[in-house]
Amino acid sequence: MAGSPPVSAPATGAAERAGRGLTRMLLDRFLLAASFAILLGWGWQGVFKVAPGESAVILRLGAHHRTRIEEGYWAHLPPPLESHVLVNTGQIRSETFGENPTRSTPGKAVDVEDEVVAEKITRAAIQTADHNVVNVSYGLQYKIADGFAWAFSMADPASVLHDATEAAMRNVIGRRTIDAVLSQDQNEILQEAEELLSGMLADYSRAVGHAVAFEVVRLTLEKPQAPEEVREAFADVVSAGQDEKRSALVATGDASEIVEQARSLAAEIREQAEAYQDAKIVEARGEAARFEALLVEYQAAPEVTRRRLYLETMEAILPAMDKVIGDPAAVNLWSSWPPVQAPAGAVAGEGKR
Amino acid sequence: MRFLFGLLLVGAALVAVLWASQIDRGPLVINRADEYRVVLRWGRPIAEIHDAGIAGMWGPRIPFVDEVLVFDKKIQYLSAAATEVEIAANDRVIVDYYVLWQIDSPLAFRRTFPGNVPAAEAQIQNTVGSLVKSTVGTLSMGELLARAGALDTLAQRSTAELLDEGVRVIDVRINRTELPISSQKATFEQMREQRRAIAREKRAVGEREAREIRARAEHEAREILAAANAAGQVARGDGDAQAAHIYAAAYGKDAEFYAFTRSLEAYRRSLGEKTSIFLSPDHEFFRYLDPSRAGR
Repeated sequence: MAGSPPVSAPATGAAERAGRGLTRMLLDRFLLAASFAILLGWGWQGVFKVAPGESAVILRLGAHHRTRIEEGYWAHLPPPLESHVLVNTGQIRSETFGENPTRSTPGKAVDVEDEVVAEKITRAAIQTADHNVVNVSYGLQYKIADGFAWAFSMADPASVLHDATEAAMRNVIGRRTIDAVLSQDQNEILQEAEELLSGMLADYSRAVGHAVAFEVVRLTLEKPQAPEEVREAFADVVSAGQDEKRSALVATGDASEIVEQARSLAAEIREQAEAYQDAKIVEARGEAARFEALLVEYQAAPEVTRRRLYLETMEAILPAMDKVIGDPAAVNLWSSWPPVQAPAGAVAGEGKR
Repeated sequence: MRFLFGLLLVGAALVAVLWASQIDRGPLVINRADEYRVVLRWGRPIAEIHDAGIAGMWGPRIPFVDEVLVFDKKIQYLSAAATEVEIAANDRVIVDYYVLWQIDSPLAFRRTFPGNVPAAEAQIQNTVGSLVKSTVGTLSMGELLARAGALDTLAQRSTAELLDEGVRVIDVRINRTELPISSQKATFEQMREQRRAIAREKRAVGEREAREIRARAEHEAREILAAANAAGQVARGDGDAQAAHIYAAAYGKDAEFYAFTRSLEAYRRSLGEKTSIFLSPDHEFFRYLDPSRAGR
């Protein structure tokens, strides 16, 4: 079709021939230009842009060939030789579970019965090993670790990851008692769940000969709580714990009061005893001194001192007494003495001196 | 010029062939990384392609005669409907699980499931579902919650049943177990009872500790008082002893005089207003009362 002459034109006009040559030339040019344009357009289809955070997974004839992670415009062989899929590997994606889940897990109900069952499922409640129920809200943040695996190894990778996370977390909590879940270090739960999850994801990827598509950035766990229906009972346990501590504190206070009181009483007893001791000694010394002083006087003039002391005493005691003076041999006074009974130890024999 | 056109022509033809192959209409079979392709000639399968790339082994396909069927090679995610299962000890529990499966043999899969993936999913859910039910049914609640080892083999056993149908089950995983509403109440009641018991125990322990502390304090207080009393008695005794010693030392100098003065003192103290005394006129005190006797 291209090219020029040797056509069979016997003897037409030269001008006519020249005109036909011109149109032909123009047509050729046009066809050539159009062909180049088409080629260029085709080639342009191989140009693609990698935006920040994205990876371009490039397939050559259907097989994974390379992955571009540098941002900017790039080109691969035009399709169908090569094609690309853009995957956002920089973005951190998240799923939440529990109170406000990002998706509901029970699958499509097969029949009405299943639908009824599915409606009964509470979102946040997780069974624990001691047959209790605990409300746990947790979250997963992840990135796509391998664009090719993400796009080509699973039909619905986000759902798989979601359910696997749920299975791992519920498994970990299901092996613990509610007290352990409520009080234990949550990092331990998270660590165990993450290990379990990583193991599961690695198994899935290995099963289809791909790299692991996900990278778990972090698992988060909100403070687990007892279900609303029994929260009061759990709160009572907490207040019972406080009661326990308080009664011990009160008792300690009482105890120190008791001991301190005893100490003060003991101090009093000691002081009193010492006071008694000191007083006795001082008293004894005083009396001894007085006696000794008197003795000195007495030894100087025994008869006079003796008589003086005696008379002074009698002088002092007799005025207050009821006195009867008489001859004890002549009168039996005892019968008429006003106090009917005889004072047993009545002084009678003082006069013997 | 002619050469250029020729080149363009050849190129265009090549591209056309590739495009046609890409959309499964051309003479080549290009298989993508996440797909299987089965080539049927006159309706009879002649090739099953698992690997990515241009399938050269089975030679070029005859366009318009050979048919190409495409199957998904990716892991399929099947979230099963939650089902209520009766487990050991007549407990009932709602089990929600998911199945990950993959087409293992596209031809067998095609033969069993002309409706492709949706048809397969129904069958898989049936098969795996009954396996799950029978396995879970033998477990106790505790075993189920701890995800007993029996559950790990579910995938293997499911695969064994479904492999003939071209399906390989990668994982069957129970992601959640729930209590039916009816037994939830009982569970809550049981939880409440447990908590009550714990609260009572804590309060009782607190009381016991308080009592111990008080008793110990009283014990200590008693010891302190007893020690003080003992020390007090010792001091008093010592005081008495020293006093006695002092008295003895002083009075011993003249015992008779002591007896005299002490008697006088005793009279002063013991004889007073309420004492009656009968005195003889001969008494020493009246020695000078009757002057006639004064000389005696």
